[in-house]
Amino acid sequence: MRVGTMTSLFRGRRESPEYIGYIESIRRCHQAGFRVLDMNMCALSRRQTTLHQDDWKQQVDEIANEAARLGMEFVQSHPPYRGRLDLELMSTPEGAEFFENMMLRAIEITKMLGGKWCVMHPATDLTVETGDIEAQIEYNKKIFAKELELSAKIGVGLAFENMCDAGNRRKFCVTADELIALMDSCNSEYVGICWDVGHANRMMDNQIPSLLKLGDRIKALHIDDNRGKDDLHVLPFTGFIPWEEVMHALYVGGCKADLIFEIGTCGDKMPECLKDEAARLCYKVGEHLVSLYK
Amino acid sequence: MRIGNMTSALGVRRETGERIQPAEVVRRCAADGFEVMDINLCGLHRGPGMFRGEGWRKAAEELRNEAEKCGVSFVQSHLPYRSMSMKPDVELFSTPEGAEKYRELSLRAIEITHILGGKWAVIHPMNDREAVVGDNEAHIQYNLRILDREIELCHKLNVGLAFENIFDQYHLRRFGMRALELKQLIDYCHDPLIQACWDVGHGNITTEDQSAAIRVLGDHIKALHIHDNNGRDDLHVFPFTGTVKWESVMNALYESGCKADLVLETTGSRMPDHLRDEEQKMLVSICKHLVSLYQ
Repeated sequence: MRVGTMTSLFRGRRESPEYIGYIESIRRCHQAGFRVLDMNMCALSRRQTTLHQDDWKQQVDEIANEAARLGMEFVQSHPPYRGRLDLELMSTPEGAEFFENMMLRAIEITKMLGGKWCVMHPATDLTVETGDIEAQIEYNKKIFAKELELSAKIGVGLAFENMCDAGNRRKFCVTADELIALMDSCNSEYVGICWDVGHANRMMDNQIPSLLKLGDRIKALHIDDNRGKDDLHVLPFTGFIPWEEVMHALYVGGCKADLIFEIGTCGDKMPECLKDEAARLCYKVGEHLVSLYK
Repeated sequence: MRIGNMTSALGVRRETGERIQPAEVVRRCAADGFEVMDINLCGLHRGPGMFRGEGWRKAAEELRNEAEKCGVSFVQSHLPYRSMSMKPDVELFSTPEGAEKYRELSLRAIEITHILGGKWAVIHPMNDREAVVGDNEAHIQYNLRILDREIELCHKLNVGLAFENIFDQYHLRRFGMRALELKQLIDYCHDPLIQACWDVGHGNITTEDQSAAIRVLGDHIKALHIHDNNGRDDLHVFPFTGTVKWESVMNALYESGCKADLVLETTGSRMPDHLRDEEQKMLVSICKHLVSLYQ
């Protein structure tokens, strides 16, 4: 298990609405100590990266070259997901088509960067009973049909992530059993699971049995902390997650994924002059977490 | 404006569950770069601790000596406060003996503040539950009545009481949420030893832009509680990890003439021990940046 981070560790700026680009982000991640990366493309469908442009392949080559020069490795990615921020886009046929194209592009980008897994948010079909697992699985296989086809064709896996309920509105794939049912129904070596430790901390008092049940089905990790209520995405050991138990369960369960931070510590709230020091602290925390993987 | 931390900053040792004692916190905070300290006595009435036994005066003197040795000074304290929902507090106040014990410890906390060299003791204002909600005069009278012995002792020791801005809980209106209410209390007392503490995190929960509230209190603010949150919950997270508009807050503190030190009140660290100092040094950098915005 290696210590890694999403490229979004450096993205937003407190001082201006401009985003930090991928090249600068990976350089600063490298400076902080990171060598393993997740290509975060959540904002691709909102045209808030430059990868929606026509020269995206050239841009990806430049990112890949810079990562190679620095000795950094992309292991996974976070493509766009059907979330609150994309609802408006998805409300028109043209918008939905653009979203789909960007999802497929994100999978191709992951392959170009050498990543093995693309993390996907499972969707919940609100037109059927949310607990009707068979119906939910069929819905997900339908809406992810093109992604499943492309990923198998080019040899990049899709890792379905554990979700959070929205208040008392249940969502599909909050539990280990639902994730396993979805994964098994696909019957493909290119389908696995991503476990977001922070999401699990919001949805269950004790995530350890779920981790042990999922074991080596977990192909990607999202590492972040919270206090059990909101999805704070804060640095581990600043929330309430029992990290010693989580890391031990990942080890005993046989999870072989890298430890990937999905935190906002150096995000758009932190002044530029403090971000690099904060990122170094994040890396040290990551090293400690990996030392608990035993 | 100097940078400071509370003695509760290092929390509980993750490895053993043992609370890190104030002397160790002072040593480590001083080494990490903090200049002043706040003695956090919020839980004095809730359990054992170095100030609960017979030797509490000696313990306070030793802590002061330790701070002097490390080159830091105590500037303020956080007095015990009565929670209306926490079980130990509800139980304590259910008997006259319990209420009297609390009172004794509240007075002791002021004396500890004095022994340590602190100038301000921060206290949470209370609601008069018998009064009409919004009747600020009644709430002011109530606070002065229930704190009469504290105020007397403060005058004797020349330690000030700083009433802190709080926030409504469970949709229940609380006196002291608004800067204007604190100002009304201060004006009513017309006493240099009865002033305000501004909690920036609480201010972020209760206002869209707290700079206006800060300007109402201005140099009546004698103590600061510095932490961040998401605007909804009292998270006590690091500055610049929540939604507080720090640039505007620091500017308002400067322009309104607040001369208090910048004292953090973030949740006690849960870091593994060997990472605590790294975390505290990061907080020192954050505080220095905040001070650079005090202009």
